[in-house]
Amino acid sequence: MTAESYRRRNTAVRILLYLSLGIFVFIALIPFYWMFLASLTPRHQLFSIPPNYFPDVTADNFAALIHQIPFIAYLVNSLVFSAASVLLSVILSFLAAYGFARIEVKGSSILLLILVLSMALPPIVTVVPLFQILRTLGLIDTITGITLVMGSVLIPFSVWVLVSFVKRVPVEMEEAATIDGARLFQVLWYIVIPAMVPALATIIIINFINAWNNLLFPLVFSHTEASKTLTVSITEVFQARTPYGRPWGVISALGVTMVVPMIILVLTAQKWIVSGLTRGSIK
Amino acid sequence: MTIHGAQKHKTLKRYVLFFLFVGPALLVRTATSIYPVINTFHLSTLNYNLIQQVREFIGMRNFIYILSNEMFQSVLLFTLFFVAVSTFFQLLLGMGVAHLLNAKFIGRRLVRTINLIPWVIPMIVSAYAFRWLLAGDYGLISDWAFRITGSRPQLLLQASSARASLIAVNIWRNTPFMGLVILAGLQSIPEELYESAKMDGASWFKRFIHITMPASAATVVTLGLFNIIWQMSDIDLVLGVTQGGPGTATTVLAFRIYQHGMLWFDWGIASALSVLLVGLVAVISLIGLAIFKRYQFTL
Repeated sequence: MTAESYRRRNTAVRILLYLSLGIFVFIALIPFYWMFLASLTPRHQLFSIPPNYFPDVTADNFAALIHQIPFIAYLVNSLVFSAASVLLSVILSFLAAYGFARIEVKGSSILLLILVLSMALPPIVTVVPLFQILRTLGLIDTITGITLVMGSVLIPFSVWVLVSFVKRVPVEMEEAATIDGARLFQVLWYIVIPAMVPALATIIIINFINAWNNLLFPLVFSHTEASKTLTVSITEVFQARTPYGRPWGVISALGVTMVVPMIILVLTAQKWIVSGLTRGSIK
Repeated sequence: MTIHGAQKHKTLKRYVLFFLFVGPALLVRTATSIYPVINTFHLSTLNYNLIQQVREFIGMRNFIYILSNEMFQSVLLFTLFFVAVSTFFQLLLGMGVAHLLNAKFIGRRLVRTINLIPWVIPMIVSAYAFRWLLAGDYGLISDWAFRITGSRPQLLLQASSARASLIAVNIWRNTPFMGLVILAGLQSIPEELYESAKMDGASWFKRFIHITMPASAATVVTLGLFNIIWQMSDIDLVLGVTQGGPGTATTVLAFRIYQHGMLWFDWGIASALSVLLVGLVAVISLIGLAIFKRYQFTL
């Protein structure tokens, strides 16, 4: 191959690469772009044929959120539900991961396998029995109730990821400390946890995203403002009928408020999310 | 204390310690996940309807009813079709995305971040966004179709196009995740291995089969399988994009469980459908375990 034809081929490959990248980014972002645009569009411009690609800009749809639905209550519920689910799942998973990685007992690997495989049990399948359990405990329509089931769902993946990270903490450090007479919880607090800050941060972020996005549990177990989350509220706004058809402007505004925190999280913590999702194999 | 006694004491202490650490997580999982699934098997043998106020043992009659009913048969078939087609395209496109993100170009970090966005947007939000994009009258996609072909397709109103749309949205949502996982595999391969294979004249395809696949198989298989299972268990997508319609054309098993269990309070049928879903998941998991054994992966 001559230098000239090689260069020409290389340029063609570059062009193809950037073209594919352009198409990829366009497809990945199109629904979010459209929702963002719609959330700023005045109502009378929303339902036009052809669609309005360059509408006027208004904040009416966001104002409608505050006035027409208990937005603040739902937002607070979403935050508390997500944070509490993270707390529950991360504490239990960290302890379990440490036990699986460091304490050698017979049958430990089979228990770990069962725990990780329980990740495959579809949550929808557990909903009817869980409804009965939560009703017996008086936890229907409480944040405690949905937190308990959500925290539980997050455990298997968290343990699976954290076990691989605990194993990377040099065991000699712990042994040295134990010989020095430090108690186990001191070892955990002063040696293991500091060494695992990146891994814990990763799993906190991933679990927060999962809980924030969860619709099933609040949809099924929450009935009032006491525990309904933003994901449930968007399905309710969707059901509402206006003389203009579906309230797409308000739906979009609500969607944007749910998406923006997630996008900020991804932009700031992309590296950590990726490392957690792939158990540290992408650095 | 004898040496032997001290040894025994130490072993016991280790077991107690192990259960102090692992116990809470196991307990919570058993109470909220493993027990409910077992309970579902029991409920599936009942005629249990909150609205009709009945609760009686009927053995296998729920299953006989479901499996001999044409509507349920088509729901089961569509569920399998949905998962098979989605998985195929997600693997195919995921490999494309992984290679794209592995190439060297300006702004790679930003594009890798964008790749995560379909995954972090709440499913229900993107489902509604797509429902609107696909809407026949004022949707963006039908507008583009109109500009190209001169007619406005009513994608969500016809069974076959509604099914195709639903699967397409599912692929949109899950391909980036697959891409990410495959990318992780790609990056775990030493650069030199690729270079020397290239020198030896191995084609792109050969490098893929002999280097990429073995290196990324454990992660790809595990996460790929869980991803398939999660897609089978999800109701958000169907709830948002089509609500199972037109008719029951786009109803998947998980969504039907939701309808029977939580909208119609027909808990017997809901539980029987749940048992069928657990069965499907079990089959896929067993295939996964077999692959694990075959290639001797470890967790």
